[in-house]
Amino acid sequence: MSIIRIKSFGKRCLKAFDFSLIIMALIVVFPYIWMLFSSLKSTEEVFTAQLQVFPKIWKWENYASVFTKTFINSIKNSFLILVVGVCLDVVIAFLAGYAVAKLQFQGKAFLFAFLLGSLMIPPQVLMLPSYILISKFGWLNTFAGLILPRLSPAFGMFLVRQFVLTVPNEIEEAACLDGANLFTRIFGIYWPICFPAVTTVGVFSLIGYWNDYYWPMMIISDKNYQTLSLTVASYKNVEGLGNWSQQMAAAVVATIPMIVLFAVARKTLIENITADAVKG
Amino acid sequence: MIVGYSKKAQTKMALALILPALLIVSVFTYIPSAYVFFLSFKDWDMISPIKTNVGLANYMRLFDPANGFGYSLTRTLVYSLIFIPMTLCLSLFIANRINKLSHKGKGVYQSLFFIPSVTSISVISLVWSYLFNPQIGPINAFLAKLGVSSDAMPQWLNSCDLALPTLAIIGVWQNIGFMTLLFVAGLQNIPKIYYEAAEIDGAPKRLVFYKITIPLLSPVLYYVLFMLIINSFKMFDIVAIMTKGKPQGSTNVILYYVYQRSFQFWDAGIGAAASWVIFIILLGIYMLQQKLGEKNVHY
Repeated sequence: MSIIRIKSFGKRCLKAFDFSLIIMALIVVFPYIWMLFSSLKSTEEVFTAQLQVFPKIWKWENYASVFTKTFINSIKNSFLILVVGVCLDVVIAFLAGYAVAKLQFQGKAFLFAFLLGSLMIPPQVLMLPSYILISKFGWLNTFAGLILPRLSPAFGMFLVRQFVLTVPNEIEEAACLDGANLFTRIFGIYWPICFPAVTTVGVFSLIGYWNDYYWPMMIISDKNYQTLSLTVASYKNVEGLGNWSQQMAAAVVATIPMIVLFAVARKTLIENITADAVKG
Repeated sequence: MIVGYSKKAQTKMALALILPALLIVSVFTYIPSAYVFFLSFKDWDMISPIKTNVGLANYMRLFDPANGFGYSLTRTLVYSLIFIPMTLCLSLFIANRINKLSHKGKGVYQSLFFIPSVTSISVISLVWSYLFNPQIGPINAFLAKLGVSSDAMPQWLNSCDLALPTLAIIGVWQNIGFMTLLFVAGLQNIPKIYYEAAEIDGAPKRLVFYKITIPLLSPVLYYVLFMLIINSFKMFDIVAIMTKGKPQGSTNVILYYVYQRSFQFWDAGIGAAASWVIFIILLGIYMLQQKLGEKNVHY
């Protein structure tokens, strides 16, 4: 009996330590490992010991030198854009999602298709007209120009709709009898029940704003309005020799918030990403 | 429908609730789409107030090889021919392996593979420029250890032949996690009974994969395939940071072409015409997806 047990335990271990998976995972994670340890190397080590992963002398000073005024300012900008953008995205998507799920009105099918149709046009394809439009609004080098054109209510509306549809009407009707108005019903009943949808929309919007490169690149030329991804990318464009370790340190700082966020929201996120595809 | 509201009242409420979303979508998606259509018939340098009407001339110019549009289109095609099959096969392979693990193991691997999807494109560009750097990058250092001589050393992003495939590899690395996630979910949805029946009949593993897994996975397969096609057309950021279309225009993919013509050559007309051609291509792909999706999903 004990032999069988040991055998099956061994089998289980083997299954968990699937060799090819471990290799693949190592390849995928390698750039992060490299980034992390290179950020602590000295300049000589970057140039002389090219295959060595761990630094000989850990230079924590690299991180101190990363936090220049522009860098700190761009972190602030990114956070500001994030907070405002994500809140707007979530609330706008939620209101629209509730309306298409629960209300009967004229032109509903058309409006629904009109909103969803916008998903077919990747924003990058519209860079030329969007740029001209934003410059006509006078929004070049402003937060409004960074936030508003990047809102994407269609995806969120769809996701919220799927969630709201599963909530029985009786709850809302009961609240109605008790005299709750429309906004109390939306934010008091549906919002908490559909919170997984809210988090998913929020996290997607967050990742989008944080990682967005092309749009800030188009409309921001003033250093005071640079976002973090612009500042990080600008290090690449300088091509300064020898500051590789500082570049990596900046990259680490820009990556950590998203990894932490992903670790926290992982479960709901994975469930909701996949639900869409599996339902087909 | 909520009891106690007339249809008129509901319409009013609904319009008020949808209005912000409608405004955003109209102003930032549909109006620019219409505007770029309008611009594609004009000759304009983006600065002067005069836009001359040139009819279809901009579209005709796209066909002129001297303007390089056809070449950009082939570059995007080359990219997608490397990027799509590799991503598809690798993520399907990984998903198939992950699916056999326990619940906990699944979560760990899925998260690891997903990290590149939440990493900013500027960080990705910085790190991979370092890794692929011919002088100090670890990849070439490793190749040197394996005995590759210094003249045979691949120059990666600096070489005309290798620059685009290098970007494609980075694209694969970036997209695997997301697609794996979708495949794992698809695999979990396949009822176990089929596999049990196959086991009883003694079907070989390969046959089980091709005759049970692939057909039952076909809805997800289609979804992923079309997502990858769209992604390869959307590719822009990484070119803008890492290669800027160089060397010798070998990474000048279609969207970078639009950017270059509009914002470096100040030729809004041809940029707009190119944008519209991309639109039409994307629209065609969506329509194909609808059609094929209905026909070829096997159950």
